Amino acid sequence: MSTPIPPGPAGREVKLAYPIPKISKTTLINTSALLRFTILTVISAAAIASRLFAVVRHESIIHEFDPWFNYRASKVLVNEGFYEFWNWFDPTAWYPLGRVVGGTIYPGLMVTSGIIYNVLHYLNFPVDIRNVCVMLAPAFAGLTAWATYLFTCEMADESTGLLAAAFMGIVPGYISRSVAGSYDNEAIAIFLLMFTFYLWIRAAKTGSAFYSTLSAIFYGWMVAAWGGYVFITNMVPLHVFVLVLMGRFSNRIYTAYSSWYVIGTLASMQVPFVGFLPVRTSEHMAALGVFGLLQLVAFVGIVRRLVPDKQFQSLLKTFVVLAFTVALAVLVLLTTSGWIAPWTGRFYSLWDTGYAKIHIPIIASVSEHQPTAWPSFFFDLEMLIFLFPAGVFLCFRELRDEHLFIIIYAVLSSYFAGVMVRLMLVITPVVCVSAAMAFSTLLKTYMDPVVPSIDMDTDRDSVIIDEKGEKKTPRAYAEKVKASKPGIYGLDTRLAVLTPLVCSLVMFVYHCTWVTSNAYSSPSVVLASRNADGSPAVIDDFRSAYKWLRENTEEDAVIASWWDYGYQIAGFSNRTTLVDNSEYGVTHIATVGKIMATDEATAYPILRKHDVDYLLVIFGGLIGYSGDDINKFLWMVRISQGIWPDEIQEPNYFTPRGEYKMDASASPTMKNSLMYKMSYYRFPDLFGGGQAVDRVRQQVIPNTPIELNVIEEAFTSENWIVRIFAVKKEDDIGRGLPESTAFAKGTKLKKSKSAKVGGAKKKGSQKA
Amino acid sequence: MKFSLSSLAGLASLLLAASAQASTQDDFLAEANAAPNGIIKLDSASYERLVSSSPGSPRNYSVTVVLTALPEQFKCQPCHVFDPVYKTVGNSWKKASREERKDHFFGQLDFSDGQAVFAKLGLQSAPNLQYFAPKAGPRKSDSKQDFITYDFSRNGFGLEKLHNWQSNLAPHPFPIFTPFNPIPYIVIPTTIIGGIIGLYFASPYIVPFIQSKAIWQGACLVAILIFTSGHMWNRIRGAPYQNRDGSVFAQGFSQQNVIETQVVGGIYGLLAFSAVALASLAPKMLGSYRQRFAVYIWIGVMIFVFSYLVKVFKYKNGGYPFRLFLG
Repeated sequence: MSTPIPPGPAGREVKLAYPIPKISKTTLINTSALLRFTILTVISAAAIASRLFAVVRHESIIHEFDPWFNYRASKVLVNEGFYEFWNWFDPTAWYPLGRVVGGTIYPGLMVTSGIIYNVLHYLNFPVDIRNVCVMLAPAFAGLTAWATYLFTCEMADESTGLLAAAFMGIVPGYISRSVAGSYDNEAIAIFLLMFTFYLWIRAAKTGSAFYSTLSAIFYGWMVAAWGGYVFITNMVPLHVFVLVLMGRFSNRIYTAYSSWYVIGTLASMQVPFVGFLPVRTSEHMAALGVFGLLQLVAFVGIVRRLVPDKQFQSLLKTFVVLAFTVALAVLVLLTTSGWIAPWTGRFYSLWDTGYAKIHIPIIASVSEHQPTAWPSFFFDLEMLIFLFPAGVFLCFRELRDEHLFIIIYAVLSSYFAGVMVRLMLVITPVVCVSAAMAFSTLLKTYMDPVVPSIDMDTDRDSVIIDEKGEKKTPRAYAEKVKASKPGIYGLDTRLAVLTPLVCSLVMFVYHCTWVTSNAYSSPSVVLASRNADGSPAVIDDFRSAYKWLRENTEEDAVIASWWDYGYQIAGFSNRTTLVDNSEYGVTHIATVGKIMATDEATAYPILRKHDVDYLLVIFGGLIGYSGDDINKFLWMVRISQGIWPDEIQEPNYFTPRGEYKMDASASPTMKNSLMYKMSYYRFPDLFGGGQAVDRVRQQVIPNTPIELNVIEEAFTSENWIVRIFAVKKEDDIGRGLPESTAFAKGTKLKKSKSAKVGGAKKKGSQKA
Repeated sequence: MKFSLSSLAGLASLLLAASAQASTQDDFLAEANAAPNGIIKLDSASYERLVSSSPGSPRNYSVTVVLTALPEQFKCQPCHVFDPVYKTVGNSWKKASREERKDHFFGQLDFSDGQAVFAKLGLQSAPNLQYFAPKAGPRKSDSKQDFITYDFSRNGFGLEKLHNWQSNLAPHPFPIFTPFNPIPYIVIPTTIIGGIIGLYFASPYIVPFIQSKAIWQGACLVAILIFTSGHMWNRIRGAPYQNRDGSVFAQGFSQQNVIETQVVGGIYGLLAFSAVALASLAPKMLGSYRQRFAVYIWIGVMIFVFSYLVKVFKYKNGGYPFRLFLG
């Protein structure tokens, strides 16, 4: 980092704590420009490199769940063209409904990678679309570092900008969503967010319509890419609103905001999924309201020039009261009459934190929608988390228009990040910028070689004792004090501060690398583990199971699984699924939940009605994989209880003492549920008569063999993580399935329970 | 002859059973009319009688019963929260016509009167709300279960949810009836007008307060510290104040106590302040000795507290490989 040397006051010698070489000003400017460029390049390279752990360890592979859908959609876009993609109807999802994809997604991500793919091919780089998708997030992370640099330069100076870019490049809070292979909307959204903010700050500072138009265009891109665009939609108007309240309204603000709002809103309405939302939902009303307010304020400004001062005051008061009342009345009227949708769903659940749990269990069930405990903040941001408030404090000290932006952004995003883990992503940029401001102020203060010209502790003339025997500062010295600049005296003081600071930077790098390598680089379709001798091993159950599905099932087979695995089944195996991760229909998800949560006799007619051929469950009990379906089972119960409260009741799945247990004390409802049966089918056999311990829940599974009548085991992966069961067809000669199973086994049919089950089933299948 | 006789006898017994059922129904209707909110006060015996149903004489009306524990000695806070809500719903049903009302009853069984029932159902907690669907008539339910339990943990004690649930299960949907209460119509406008007048006169004192930079600065920084130290997690998850043994830090990466977040917020605040002191306050000191002293103090505080923070984090996240000067 280059520290510019402050020129000493003319004619007076400046005391320096350590000698600095004499370099001409031109050399200095040229060198610092070169250094800036080199440093930024290196930061971008580091940002990209630190996201490649997964690619190096495994291979170039798409991660997790949602990216699989995005990847599939990108393939459609690249192979079949833009219009096919726009009108894409996917009959294999949400069987038998199908899904209109074109109008229900944010297409920005796929279009971006499609453009990159086509440009590369035009330049004769025959790159596979998969590699474009895998590498998109790291590439955009490099751009984000650059955008952060530009943004911070507007707030402070270049050296702070470089520090912020470096923080942003490697901070785990951002890496968590942008490692190679994590091909999700957030991959490009954070770059767009920062760049839109940078352009907006430029526009607000200069009043340039050019910059605000650019800002609006990037905002439009952001809207096409990520639902989190609502943050910008409210952040920018709030900034303007606070400026107006503080009496900082100016023509620059007026020009910038008016052009941004008009062009940005029109741009956002081009996305089919957004459409007319910007004029019809409460989330967007703040932007419209501030737009109206600015027109009023500007109008009042014009009137002020034409009307005498005294009359103007009373005119202003009546006008403000009237305008406010009318605007409020119109808003209330439109909301109650249903023209403007009130705050609902996801965004509302950010304010009323109990809302989601009651009204939208689908949203509440997703782990990334949980609130954030404090260790997550430290994990993702390390020392930046406490430098962040220090930076905000420094913003208050100067309080230019753009500093207000940082302050508002900081307060809002820290609330949001506290409510939802996934919004750590939104707070991360402002934390980096703000912490960089604090850190860079520290570095600059203690690197500055200039020593203050006066020292009251050593200067003999600083104190005189007057006639009364009291200590006093002489007038001549007091003037010297006034003229002196604040600074640091001793070289030891400088070193005492700089050494720990540099060490903490080094520690930050180690922390980020460790977090990235250990927590955020798992593709989650391939699990890393260790053998008994400590050598690394790969658990590849998911891919082997999906491969089995692709190669051994009919092409039109319907697979039922919990919704988490829908995209992967579609992406890997190319098979039809009942539900997937798009949170499209609650009833459908509840149906799958009901299948899993009820006994065979109840589930079978539902399975047959939906043409289900295979059931897929994830079971981690053998190797201790805790993200399995039994740990998600309560959500299945809850969601299906929401639709069938009289058939499924959550308390029935607990032991009489209210515990969630799988061992001998498990409730009969639990033991009869399809989920339990499929997970533990033949499980005790593995232990050869010993105690069958479920390693996730540390419970002993009872040894009584589980009998399956309406389904049969089709495939179980190496470590038992994925288990696939085939649904039997109705018996050819009209027997109930339990009877035919018993017959096939050669056992004598007991009359009592199974006969009843068979009867019920026949009735059900006739209905189907 | 013998055959027809026995069938006649069967018919007679059926009729008898039906009339017995009818008289029970009329008895309870009279009781419901007499009760202040249309809610029949039950004990173990009358509870059994109200919800009883046998294949011979199926119950042709539905029942909602709350099993509660209102007397003071049980210290059942939720019971008292739920009581007025339940009364409002019962009272709303009372506005239905007499003919309709005999198809559905509201009952209330207190623990002190119905320990036998609580014991029989194995209930450990109160309140519990049960709905018994009719076993005969047009709304007949085929469900094998005797009754549906209203899920308080899911629905809470709100009136709207309860009314919605009940209204769908009743013979026909009914609106919430709230007796006219004039007090809000007087109090709310008075408060608003009073507030506006008060604000107008107090504005010379309030305006400087609102415009004060220091106050906004303090409020923003405190808000940031509170939110980044996990306060919202405490609110949403209802974190305990401290561990059972009184220690501060909860075990586990995604668990925390209230006092823990306060400690962490304090640590962040102290670290941020030491950074501000070093960056902003120390350079303004005009003497080299006092500046040196202050700088060494604050950098010491920073290193020590940061080390402690890393130590705490290592405790929360067992696999964390780094440490500073503290164990």
